[in-house]
Amino acid sequence: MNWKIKATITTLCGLLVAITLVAQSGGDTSKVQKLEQEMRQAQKNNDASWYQQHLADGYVEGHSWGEWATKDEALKQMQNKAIKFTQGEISDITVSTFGSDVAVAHYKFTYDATFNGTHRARTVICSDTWINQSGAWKLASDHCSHVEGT
Amino acid sequence: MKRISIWCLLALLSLVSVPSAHAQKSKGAEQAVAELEGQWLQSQKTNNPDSIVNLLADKFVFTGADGKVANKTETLANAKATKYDSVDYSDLKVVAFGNTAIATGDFMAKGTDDAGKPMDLHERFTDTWLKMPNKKWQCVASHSSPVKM
Repeated sequence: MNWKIKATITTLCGLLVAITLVAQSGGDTSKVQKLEQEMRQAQKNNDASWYQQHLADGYVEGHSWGEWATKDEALKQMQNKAIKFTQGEISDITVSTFGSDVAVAHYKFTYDATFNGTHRARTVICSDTWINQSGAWKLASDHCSHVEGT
Repeated sequence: MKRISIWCLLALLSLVSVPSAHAQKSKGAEQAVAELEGQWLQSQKTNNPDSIVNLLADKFVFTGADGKVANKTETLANAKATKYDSVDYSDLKVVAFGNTAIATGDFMAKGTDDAGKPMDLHERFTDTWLKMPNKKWQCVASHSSPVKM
């Protein structure tokens, strides 16, 4: 085979690898930001199927009033419509990526909602850990705490 | 030509397989992270925050039970100004997701805070740990919230 053809194939192959790597890392931040928006929308709509699809096995949720919820408990709350939101807005979101398969999002979430019959209206600050499992981003943990004065 | 095609194929296959390989649980990861949580607790019990400098990643972010956020430098400065009379963890659980691990637990502490005020805390925490390229685990994020607020 002509060396020019070999060189061209090798260059194209390298280019393809480079493009794939850039696409994997560069899009992660915006992808996670989009997922955060989707999650809060799913929460407002009691969309349990979104949670089923995006919560990792072993997921843990820490509420701002100190309670924990597992993946099963979070799904159950969605299915039972035990949480009802009338308002919920995300702000000040920042995403830190670590390689191509871990991202930690920090953001504020201002909401008005009823949790198992208890009304709560506040702004919380949250830390969410996302992991990329076989190309799909899954939420491994979500922990929020009350921002004082809100 | 065949050789080049094989190398090209192998390179692409390795890229596709990287996420799934990382997603697999690492053996012993939970144990390793639990031990590091123990080191962190020991640093608080001995009021020696210098011993956790290497446990925190450079991009570490701490979010406190009051909603305040601190980076690594600020966290270490706060830890140096805090004096614990007693401190303990309970219900520590670690779940590993390949090279990532989530540690959760209860944190109880008494003493004086970084402003010199008396403190009596009962909080719950979530720590995110990552296995770095040098194979050492570091905490990249820690989040606390008070129990029964």
